[in-house]
Amino acid sequence: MSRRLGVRIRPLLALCLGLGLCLVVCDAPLRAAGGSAATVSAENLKAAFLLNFMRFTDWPPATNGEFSVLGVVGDRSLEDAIFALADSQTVHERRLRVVRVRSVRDAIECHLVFFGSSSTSIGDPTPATAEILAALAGRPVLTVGDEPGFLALGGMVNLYREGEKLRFEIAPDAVGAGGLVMSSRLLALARIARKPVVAQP
Amino acid sequence: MTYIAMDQPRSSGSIALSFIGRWSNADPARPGSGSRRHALGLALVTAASFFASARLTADSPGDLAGMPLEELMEMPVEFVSGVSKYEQSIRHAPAGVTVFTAGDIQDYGWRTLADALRAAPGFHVRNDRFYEYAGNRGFTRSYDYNFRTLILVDGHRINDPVYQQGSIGTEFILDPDLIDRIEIIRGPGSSIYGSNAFDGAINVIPKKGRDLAGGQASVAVGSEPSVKARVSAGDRAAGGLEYTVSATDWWSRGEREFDLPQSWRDAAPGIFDDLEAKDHDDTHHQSVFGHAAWRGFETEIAYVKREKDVLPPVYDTTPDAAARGVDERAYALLRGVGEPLPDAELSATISLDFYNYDGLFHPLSTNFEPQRAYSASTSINTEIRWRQTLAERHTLIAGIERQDNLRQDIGRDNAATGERVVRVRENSAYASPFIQVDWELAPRLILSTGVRYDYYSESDQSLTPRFGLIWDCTSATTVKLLYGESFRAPTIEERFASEAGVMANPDVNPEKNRSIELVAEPRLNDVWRLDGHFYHIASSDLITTVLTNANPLDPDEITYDNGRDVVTDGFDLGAAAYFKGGLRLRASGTLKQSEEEATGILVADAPRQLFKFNASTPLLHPCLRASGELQYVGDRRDFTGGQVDSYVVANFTLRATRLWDDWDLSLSVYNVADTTWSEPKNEGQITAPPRSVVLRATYNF
Repeated sequence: MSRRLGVRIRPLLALCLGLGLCLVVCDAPLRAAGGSAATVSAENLKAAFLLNFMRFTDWPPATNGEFSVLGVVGDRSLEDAIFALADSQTVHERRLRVVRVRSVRDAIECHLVFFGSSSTSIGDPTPATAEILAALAGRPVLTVGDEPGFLALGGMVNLYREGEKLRFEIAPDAVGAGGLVMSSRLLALARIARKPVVAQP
Repeated sequence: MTYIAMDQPRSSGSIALSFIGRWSNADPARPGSGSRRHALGLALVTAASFFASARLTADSPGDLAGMPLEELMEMPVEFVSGVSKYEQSIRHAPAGVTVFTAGDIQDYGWRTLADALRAAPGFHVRNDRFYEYAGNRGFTRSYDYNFRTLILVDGHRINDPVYQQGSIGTEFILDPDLIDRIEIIRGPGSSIYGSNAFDGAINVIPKKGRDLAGGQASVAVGSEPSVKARVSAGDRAAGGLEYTVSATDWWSRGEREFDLPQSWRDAAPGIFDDLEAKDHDDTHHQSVFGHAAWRGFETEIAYVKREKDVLPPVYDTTPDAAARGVDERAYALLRGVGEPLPDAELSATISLDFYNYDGLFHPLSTNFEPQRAYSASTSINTEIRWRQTLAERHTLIAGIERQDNLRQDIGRDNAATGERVVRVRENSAYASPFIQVDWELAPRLILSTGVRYDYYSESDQSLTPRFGLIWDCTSATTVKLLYGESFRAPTIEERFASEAGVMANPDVNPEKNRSIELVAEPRLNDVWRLDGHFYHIASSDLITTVLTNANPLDPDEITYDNGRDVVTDGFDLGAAAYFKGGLRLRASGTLKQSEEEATGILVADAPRQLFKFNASTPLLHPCLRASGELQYVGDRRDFTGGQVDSYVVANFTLRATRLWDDWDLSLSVYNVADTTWSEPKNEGQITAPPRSVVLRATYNF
């Protein structure tokens, strides 16, 4: 029996190894998917959304510096995907820099702050999120969240899932209060939260 | 399906004996040991090559960043809700998961849930022209009804409390065109679901109102001939009310590939000489489905009635009249979800389930006197569960499920004389607390621990744990080490349905499974991803038939007992690729071996090689898509010891979406090359269906 199994395994194993090797060597010309049924990891997709948010938002000239700065609060699993972007991407012809936000001061230095949820949990924003959002209110920092109720806390853009697709909602009032201008293209794709929802006590 | 109970134990008994007598090109001195070592070594080499390839390319930056937002918004996100009873990313779920979507079902023209499972890594499906049976990393048993696989719709248990049947063929409760997602979860799932999640669980999620966003009328015409008509409507209204309603009527004349068995002519010489066998097996499926959700509440109803003619070679019956089985299933469910505390979610579900079977047949063993078989169950299932997110990093889910089986009946009468052959009237209940904690031990390292205790009022209790260590070793590669236990409680039939020659065994214990698995899921780049699953499964106390040796009048009398242990070793390797321009590829190969632990003899209906290849590409125009699948199932044995040859089958579908804005058309050819092959049935083999063609038209309004 062992002989039978061995004889049959080897060609398949060789095929798998060969295929793996080919992939490693020749993956350069392969490009990203465009098909509708291509599934992607939520982390990579969210990172790409954040990049688009930055590209379709204009900041007041006073905030312009050498870098476009993207800050991340929480969510280690998303961190890798975002850091992977940093090397290769530019926003408004400035290089992208990704930082970890550990304090309110860190957050104020950013163009965009993303408040991630842990990839294994879906829950309400923590007090820390509310604290940072309160400090950023009226400042030119685009705040993006990944939790239900994020806009009610004063956030500007919130990601949510509709079926399998990633969607986002925008609170234009909060965006305007920060002195940011969003492209109409972005607004057209979003669900608009016109009237700010009453904040939780 | 009941009538087969009469012959079941005898045949299973002969199977058990045949294991000992046949298939012994194994080394009798050290059964299986050499091959297992060999397989392990190969598995390690393969695993090493996986990790090596992952390291080389894992950190390449994503190409998603260059895509416009409109395209990104159309990309489906990976998640699974059926592993832990809450939504989590597939890479962090403590199980190997494959997800098929509505797009896959339409692109490949899958007619039943069974068709989808044929394309899933590690699965093989056999069809005996009555039901379909899925083997998942292991094997099926003769006269089982998929009771080692749990079938769920929206997390709701479909396996009934009589036969515990996990229906996947035309008797499945949903029209496959109404399915939004199929989550195929491999490995033990009893720590969260209890009985039947033995080899795995399949969670089917129906389309919701937002997915339909309007109405659909669909007609499919097949070459058998067959006709299927469906009307569906659904939407999400402004007030937040979301609803779906759908009805399907589906008839098929079935196949004509049968000959009258010689055994019939031999058994009753002269009687059948001038008789033409009934040459087709009509199938009629009627189903309705409804779903409504408003704020935190949802309700769902589903009903299916499947009438099926079964021809002489499949089961006992006179050649001029098919045996006939009518399966009915229905459930109504009410669920409420709320957030009573921050970071907490409380959900409560109550459902009422019905199952009914009615069959008529004319067995040789009763001199063709008609036998009527029937069974029925009514049950109420309630579940309350609490999910708590702790410190943003950890998730706890705990709950209790209770099922009251108010009615569990099995009966068989001699329809000519009215004499009762079998009569079982039972009721029972189980209550099962469960808990799972997904704890982030360190950044990128999650420990998932779960356990469930199933307390059965009328049979043995089970305690089933599951542990998973999930490590994101790079941003693109996740490695999981999983250990799980599972069980299947004995059926009412095994415990109580005694008759002459077949003694039920009220004391038979649950079957048990213990599995250890290593999963590696390297994502090479945004185009290619691989997955490898290496597993060792020890199945013990499997319920089988044994001679009682207690009845001097009937030396062949048999009963059920926990008399079988089986060891399975194997691995699945998969690759999937999604190219810019829409070409999608998916391939998987499986090598596995299931042996009787005591003897090292290979188990029946357990093919040692499986290979699947699916490809789908746009053709000429963006709205036109051509999809093909190729499936290889290696040789195996049938339940009576015969050799079942390997086969390759190809299916092809051409699909046009949104023609003239509102029309979807597709043409499917199944078994393109018109290959002839056999599949095991309960006794012996049966020819698989020949080539068939289906043309579908759907109007969206």
